[in-house]
Formats: sequence, structure tokens, C-alpha cells
Amino acid sequence: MIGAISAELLKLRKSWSTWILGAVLVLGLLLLGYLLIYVLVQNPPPGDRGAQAGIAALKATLLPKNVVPNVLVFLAGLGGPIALVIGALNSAREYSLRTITAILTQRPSRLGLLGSKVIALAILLAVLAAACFAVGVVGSLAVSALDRTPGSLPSIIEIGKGAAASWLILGAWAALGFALGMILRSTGLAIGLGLVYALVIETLIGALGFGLAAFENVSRGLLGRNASALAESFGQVSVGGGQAAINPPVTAALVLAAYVIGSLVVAAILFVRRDVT
Amino acid sequence: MPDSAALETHDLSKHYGRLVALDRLNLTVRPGEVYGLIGPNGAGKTTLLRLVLGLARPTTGGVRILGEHAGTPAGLARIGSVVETPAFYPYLSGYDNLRVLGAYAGVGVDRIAPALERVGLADRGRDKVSGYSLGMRQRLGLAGAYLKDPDLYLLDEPTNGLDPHGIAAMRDVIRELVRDGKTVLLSSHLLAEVEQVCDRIGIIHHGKLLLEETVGEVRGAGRLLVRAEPLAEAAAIAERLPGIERVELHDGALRIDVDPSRAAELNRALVTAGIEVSELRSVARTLEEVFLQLTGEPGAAEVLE
Repeated sequence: MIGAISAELLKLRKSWSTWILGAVLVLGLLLLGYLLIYVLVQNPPPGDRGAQAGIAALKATLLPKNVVPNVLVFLAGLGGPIALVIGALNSAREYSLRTITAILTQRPSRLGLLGSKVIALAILLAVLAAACFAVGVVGSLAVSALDRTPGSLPSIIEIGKGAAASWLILGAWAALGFALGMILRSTGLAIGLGLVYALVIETLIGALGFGLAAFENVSRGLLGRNASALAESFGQVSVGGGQAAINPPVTAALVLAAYVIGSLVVAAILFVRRDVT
Repeated sequence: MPDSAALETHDLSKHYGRLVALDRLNLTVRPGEVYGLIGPNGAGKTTLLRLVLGLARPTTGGVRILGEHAGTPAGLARIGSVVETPAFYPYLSGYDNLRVLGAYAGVGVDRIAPALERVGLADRGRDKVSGYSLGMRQRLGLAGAYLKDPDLYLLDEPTNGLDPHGIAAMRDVIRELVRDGKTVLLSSHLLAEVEQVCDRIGIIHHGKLLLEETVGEVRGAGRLLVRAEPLAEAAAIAERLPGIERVELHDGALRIDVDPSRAAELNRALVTAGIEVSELRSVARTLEEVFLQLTGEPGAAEVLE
């Protein structure tokens, strides 16, 4: 099993797609989560006192004390679709390249192969979550130093909790992508449908949920809304308050865990029962 | 099932909905032999190989590999396979691809360099597979099969994409495997290739095993070719002789399934009947002739009887 996991890690490490998606995630956080906002708060547009207060609130999100919610909210937004693509690539690419045949004819059991892929994926997501927090810490300390605003980082326990939450958020999205890859056995289709769900269907149902009770209940089960609810439980960083959290943090975490387990169970059943064609 | 068989299928069937891809197939590959599996496109060869490798599950029946069930880790441990055009991770080097396969096969990295050396890819092992030619990928596939040092090699069209030198080298590889005591199941469209290297062959058509014999048995003890005038009368006389199984008209001559040692007897009968015999000689049937005859593909000889 350890050999198989290291083989999966080797494939992930040597694949350009891993590095590109990882770079988009980390650099996206740096650019959109810190640099762009810092430039904006340093050059505020003229406005009334309300606007000035908004700028001040925005600036506060960049400070070290807010590193956990700032990183988490970014990961719950842009991080989700990126993790979905990573998950879909991890499973569907074996079918697209037809390497699934070569691997399965070695010696592993199908569940053993699936387990190795999932563990390697979980390790990659943990590394990405840690990298995002490292970038967040560096970015917030840099803002603090540039702005000459004294600020201290949250406790290591708080950062650890945030990292675990971010791992769960990325894991839920990646598991969904992984299951889509197994179901569809096509990289393009799995990524395409996954992104349609993440960017279109969730947004539509979420928007309808404000007016209709039935949609509101549905949106309580949406992956993205629960990811946001969990992220915002660490602190509100949206200017103007944003939307109310759809679920309390524990419920949101349980929903995300259910996505992980449900997706992996579906993937495992299909992978074990279906013929490889 | 006796454990003496390297590979044995028992009433093996595979249905895809209403399509019967394999129909109660009973095939036996003996240890240490080269078994040629031939059949037209869509005959069920690839389905059979997928079942042997555990990639698909049989509808009925089963497969045993040296006593182990197909598709189980114990069964797969004893098979090395090159199925269709081998697929690899194009962004990994040949060496790293074998590392991945070896990790899943449970073998150490120390086997990789000798495997690359054996297929002549030692100097290209660190190059990415995306830059490999089809023939190099085929050879890398063979290196992947060597990693496990299996007892049974399953080679599906192993000469695909190989140049004439590569094809000859592949023939040597197969002979070398047999010398090392390995068993080879070779699936190929190249009948001449099969004829050269295989000890026994199985012809599969519409999911059924039509024939399973040694190459010598398949070609038969031989037959006689007769050119005579008038030909139809000569055919009628030949058909009346005892022990003659079949008389075919082919290319202006008769092909008669009979022991060639009866050539004199046949000649005497024809001459006595006033037939003018211009040629009478022994000819061997080619595997292609047998194959076309059994599978009823275009080009099969016209059967008079």
C-alpha cells in the first residue's frame, strides 16, 4: 500500500497540471486575497464616510489577526473549483490515458488502488492547504509591516483549526470531482460538469433560495454554501456583512464530511463493480 | 480444473446486453507452450483477454491461471501482459512509468534497469514517454511485463507498430521466454507470425472456440493438388475413392484432402478413367487457408463436396 501511495504521489508530483493548479491556488490567494485588496485600500476611491468605513473594514481583513478567515473564505470560493478539477483529473485521467488497464493488471485490488489514489490526493490537498496558510501568514505580515500596523497572528491552535477546515473544504470538492471522474470516465466531461455545478447550479439555487422556502432547504445541502458557512465561522471578512451563513459551523462541517464520504462510496462502488472497457 | 494448465477457461461466457461476446468458451493453455489465439475482428479475443486479466467479469463460467482465479492479486501476480497498444503516463519517463507499475506489482526498483536493458531502452529510460515512438512504447510495455517475472505472458498484437527488425526481435523474445520455461498466450492478426512461433493455436469466431490444435494438426497431414482434363470428371472420380474427405476446386485445379502417400493410387484411378493428368503433387495447407475456411471469411475455397 505504501508503495502504491508513493507511486500515486510520484504521478501527482511529476504532472504539470498539479503544479499549474497549485500555483493558481496559491498565487490567486496572494494576488486576489492580499495584493489587489492592498492596492485598493492604499488608493481608495473618493466617497462618503460609509465608503471610507468599508475601506477600513477591507484593510482589516488583510491583517495577521484575520489570516484564518481570509484564507478560508478564499479557499471556499476559488479553491473549491480548483480542488474539483484536481479530483476529477486524479480519477478520470486514468481512463483518458487508458493507464487504468496497465495498473489494474499489475496486482492491486481495485479498492487498494482506489485507496492509494484517495490517500495521495488527501496528502496533496493538505500540502496545498498548508501552502495557502503559509502564503496567508506571509501576506498578512507583509501588509502589517508595510502599513506599520502592529498585529499578531492568531494562536497556532486557531491556525491549525483553520487549516483542518480548509482541508475539509478542499477535500469535499476534490471528492466530488473524483467521483465525477469515476462516473463519467472522461476528464473533460467530469471537469466540465463539475464546474457547471460549482459555478452555475450552486449560484442559481442559492439565489432562488432567498425567495422560496423549498430552494432554501435545498441550498442548505449545497457544497459551496456549506463551505462558505464553515469558512465564515472563523470570522466575517466580507465587506458589508455578506450573506447569512446557511448552516451553523458544526452542521456545515458534517455536510462537507458527508460529501466526502458519499462521493468516495459512489466512486468505490462503481470502480469495483464496473468492467474496465 | 486441473492445476497443470497455465491458463484454463471453463464454459466462459460474456454477454453485453443482448450481444454474446463469448459463448461457453473452453480453452486450455499448457505450461511452457506458445499458444496463438487468432480470430477475425470482433471475434471475442479482446474480451477473452480482459476476462483473463480481471478487467471484466464473466457472465458465466470462469478462468484459472496456474490454479488461481483470474483478476485476483494472486492470479495477476503470475501474468505479465502487453494488451493492445500499451498505455503510459506521457509526462513521466519510461523509468518512472515502470516505477509506478512496479509499485503496484509489489516489485522493487532494482528490477527496472534490467527490464529496460532487456528491451533495448536502457539509454532512453530517462526520457519522457511522450517522445517515444509506437515501437518504443511497445517495447516499454514488454519491459513492464518483465518486471513481475511472471510465469504466463499475455501478448496482444505485440508486433503492432514494430518495423521488420522489431518484429524479428519480438519473435526472438517469445522464443527466449519459452526457453526460460515461460508460457506465452499470443493474440495476433498476423497468421504467418503465429504459424512461425506458436506450438498450438485456438481459432475463435463469434465468441466460440472453433478449433484448438497444434499447428501441425491444423495444417493437416497434407493434401494433393491435381491438374487434369476434364477437371469435373476428375473431381467425380476422386470423390468416389475411399478415405477422401474433401475435394475442392481452386484456381483451375483440384485440392484433395488425402494422405499424400496415396498419390500413386489416385493417379492410377484417374489415368484408368481416361483423364489426362498434367500435374499431381503434395501441398501443405497454410494456416490462412484453414482460418478462412473455418471462419467463412471472403476468399475461402469453393467446396465441391
